[in-house]
Amino acid sequence: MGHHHNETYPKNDNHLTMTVEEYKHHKTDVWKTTLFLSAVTIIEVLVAIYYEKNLIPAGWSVGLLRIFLIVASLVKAVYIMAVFMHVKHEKRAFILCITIPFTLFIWMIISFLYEGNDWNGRNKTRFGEAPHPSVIKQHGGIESHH
Amino acid sequence: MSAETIENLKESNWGGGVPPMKASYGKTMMWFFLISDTFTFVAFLVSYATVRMINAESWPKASNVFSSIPLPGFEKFHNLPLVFVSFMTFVLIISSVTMVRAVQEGSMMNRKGVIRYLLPTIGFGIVFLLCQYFEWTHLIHQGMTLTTMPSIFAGANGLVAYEFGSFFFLITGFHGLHVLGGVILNIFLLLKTTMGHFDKLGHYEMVEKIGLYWHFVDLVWVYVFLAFYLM
Repeated sequence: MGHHHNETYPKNDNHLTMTVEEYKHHKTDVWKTTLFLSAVTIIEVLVAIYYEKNLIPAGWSVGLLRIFLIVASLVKAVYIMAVFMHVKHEKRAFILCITIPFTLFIWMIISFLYEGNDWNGRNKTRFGEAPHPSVIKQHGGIESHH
Repeated sequence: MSAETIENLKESNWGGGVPPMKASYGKTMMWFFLISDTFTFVAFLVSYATVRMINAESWPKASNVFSSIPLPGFEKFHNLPLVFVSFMTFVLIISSVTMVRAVQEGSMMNRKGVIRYLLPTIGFGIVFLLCQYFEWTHLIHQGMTLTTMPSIFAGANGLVAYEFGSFFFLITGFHGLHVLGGVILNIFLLLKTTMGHFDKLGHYEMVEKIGLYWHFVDLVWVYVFLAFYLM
């Protein structure tokens, strides 16, 4: 039953795709991951509130806290993929097929952020701290620093 | 080649006789879709980051924009930044947990278990969508739309970044559309499970595939949360 639909599924004869031991192990894994994700989220929110409200302790840098937030989000993403999306139990070839395309993002992010930063600098050179002319045109009511 | 060589070849990992990735067609295609969808979301979020950097001085502070609980009856709580969206984040994390439990019960062929965990997953999905409805309504009432930004949300240089609204509504809207799709798929899954469809089929692979999609929606929220609320 079911075998004619799909030869790789289910894996064994009694139609279960997991052994009882695997099931128990994965279940504890899920609860542990839930606790971990919740803890990371709470820390992230506290950090965000602290630096947005300018409550950062002396000597701490906003840039460093932002890097912490990015790394924490990456860690969360890895755990969601590995445990919830079952990736860590897949075959190595399958894991590589999923993760290798993501490396394209590295250059995408670097180049676009460089572009954004550069554009910001050019606007300042051209217009000083005043808004871009297009902003004034679309929002005539907004006060400008002339 | 002799018949024996062909047989040996077929038994090797990439010889065509065995599925080398131990993943079914449906599951592989779901991953294909999720990877392509990742590219869409990353394109959105990277363009958001670029425009934000260009307008760094006029970009609003998240704790300023998202400072209240936009629920009826909670109007008097004004200075609670990020509390409401943290609640939304937890709703999504917990719904991911109940979904993964449904997948696990499915792989044990436990129909009642699947139903027990699909119900809260659908419930949390609907709660998330309602939260988004209230948040959007609140912001629109304050004057933020796709093309406008109220002066109360001015940045450090006293100007407003009118791009904020379009990025916020389009990206959270696209994510919300995914959540809505997930809720509909989960309701379909619940009906199929209740009718005993997967027991007749002999496996609960559909729960696994839709589960992957649902976790992806949670995964995207991690980055939407980072981009709009935390950074």
